[in-house]
Amino acid sequence: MKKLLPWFTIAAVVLSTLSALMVGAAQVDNFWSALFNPSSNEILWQIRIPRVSATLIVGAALGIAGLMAQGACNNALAEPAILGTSAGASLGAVIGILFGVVQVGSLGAILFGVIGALLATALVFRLAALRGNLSSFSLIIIGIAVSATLTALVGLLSVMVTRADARSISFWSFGSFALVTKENLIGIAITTAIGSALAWKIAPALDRISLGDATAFHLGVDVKRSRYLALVALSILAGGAVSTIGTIAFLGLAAPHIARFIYGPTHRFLVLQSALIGSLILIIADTLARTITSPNELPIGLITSLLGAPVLIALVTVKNSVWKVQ
Amino acid sequence: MLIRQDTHTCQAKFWQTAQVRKIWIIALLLSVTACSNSQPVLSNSILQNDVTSISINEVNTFSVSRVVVLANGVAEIISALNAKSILVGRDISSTDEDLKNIPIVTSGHQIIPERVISLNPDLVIIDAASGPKAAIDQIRAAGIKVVETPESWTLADIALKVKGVSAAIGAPVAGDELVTALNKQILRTDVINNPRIAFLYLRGTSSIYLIGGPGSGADSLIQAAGGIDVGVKEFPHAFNTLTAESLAALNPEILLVMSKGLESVGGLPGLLKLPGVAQTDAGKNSAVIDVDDSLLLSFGPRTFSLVNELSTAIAKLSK
Repeated sequence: MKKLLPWFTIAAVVLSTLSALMVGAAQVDNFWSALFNPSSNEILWQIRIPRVSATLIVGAALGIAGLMAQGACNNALAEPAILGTSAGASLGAVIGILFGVVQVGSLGAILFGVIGALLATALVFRLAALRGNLSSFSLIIIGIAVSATLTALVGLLSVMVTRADARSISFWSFGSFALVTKENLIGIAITTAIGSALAWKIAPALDRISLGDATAFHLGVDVKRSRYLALVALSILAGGAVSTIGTIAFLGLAAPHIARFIYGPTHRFLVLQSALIGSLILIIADTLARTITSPNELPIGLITSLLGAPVLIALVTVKNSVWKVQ
Repeated sequence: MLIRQDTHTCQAKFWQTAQVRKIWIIALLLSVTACSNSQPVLSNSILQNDVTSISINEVNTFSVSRVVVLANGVAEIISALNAKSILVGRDISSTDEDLKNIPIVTSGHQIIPERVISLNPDLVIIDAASGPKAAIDQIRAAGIKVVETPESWTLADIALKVKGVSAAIGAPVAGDELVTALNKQILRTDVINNPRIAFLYLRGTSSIYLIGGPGSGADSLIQAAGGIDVGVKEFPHAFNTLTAESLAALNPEILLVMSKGLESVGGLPGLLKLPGVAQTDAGKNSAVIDVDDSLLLSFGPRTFSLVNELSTAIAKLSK
């Protein structure tokens, strides 16, 4: 039964994706025929498929990003939003847009987002380590404070500089797939592929780091280098996603926790499963966001929190901890 | 099975080493390459200079001498009543060239009492959208007369609004004269096929479209100009959030937008790339009309001229 579990996740993602493609504000006639004939239906092929593809990619990116954050810090609370990574990505993208050199969703905006994510995450760790060992407490407190500061800066810039194309604070806080185009997919696919490959490469090292730095060192792991690479992977994954569709709350925390709870602590396996569960949560959330009040659309960040939080609470209350090592 | 939760696992020294410095260097290098451009493409624009304002020239006397206007489009009506001399402050909505020397005190939705009171007005004109209410109460508490004039969202409302404003400043005869002058304007309708038009309220700041429905104001203009507003039958409210798929399914032949809204999504090329827009006939034919933001829904002395310009633009695009 346990061996079949991964296939359940894959099956759930496939079924959810098909459901997401089938439903929407507009009716797609002869769905199956249209699905296998590219460009036969404009609404399906030019609006729905790019959007659903984006949710799959971003869900995977944020799932793995959360895993990298938790694995590198060996900290159950670490995730892109708490470590300042998401807020840094937002600020980086907004600065790039306000300087007039990039547009939301462009490769340039993604680069600015990744830069912002890298700098913000590095700043959080730097500040948290100023007074000796990097404790969970100081990391989380500093991370929340830096996130709040950077988010406030995004809000101030959005209000003070009346550039409508910089998007609103609600976009950067709650995220949206409403304006995702086929062109945007290229950028987030590239960053997700690079970040995922890096995550896959360092996953075995994270297994050993989870036993403690000293043990990992004696097992032959270059702990500093592995953490550095995890930080880079986290920033590339979260930076690419946030700079294109804004901040999706809670996913980076929930997806790896759920994966870890169901499938155990092996990081290579968790890279796959966090990606799948991240995609699954996000595709269900986006389908609900665009259909519950159709033709209106709800902010997706609200739905991810409503979906992910109860699942996480249920898992944590069933057993005492989601941090487990076999 | 071993269950553990580390609290002191990350080494502080790591984050103070050359590794972190490398991140800053990588970030700097990346920033040099992060650039992209957008190219401007022209749409069918109706700007302020394209329309004419109807006004009267008679010199009148007024019951007030210092008026602050906080209501949409009222300042340009006061100007059209030849009463600009009594105007000491205005909201941002009236953008007539001859009003540019009158200080702007608010956007209309964020009234700051101190700025209004400091102008020492004897009359403040508001409408139902002016606010917040507490600010207006403070102005009243300072002993300043506050009069609410009717809003106008259709061509028929313009006369009511003009009469309300002229009565507020004590010049009802001037109001009647202006209404008579406005009623003499002949609306030109060059449009023959009643094309399906959607009014989109675009803001790059918002990640979701708003489409005009019944009572948006644009519905009255589109109808007068000879088109059919597709949002009127389909939606319940004046402004409705809309998914890309819904817009594609509505399939309007022409899109009507505000100029700054169009600019905020990257101009015409940016608009045509938006999900939902590209799949409409309007998107495929680049059939887009953009109208100056302050002009489109002003419903005042410039509106009749605007309808004529709109009619010409619609006729051109629907041929």
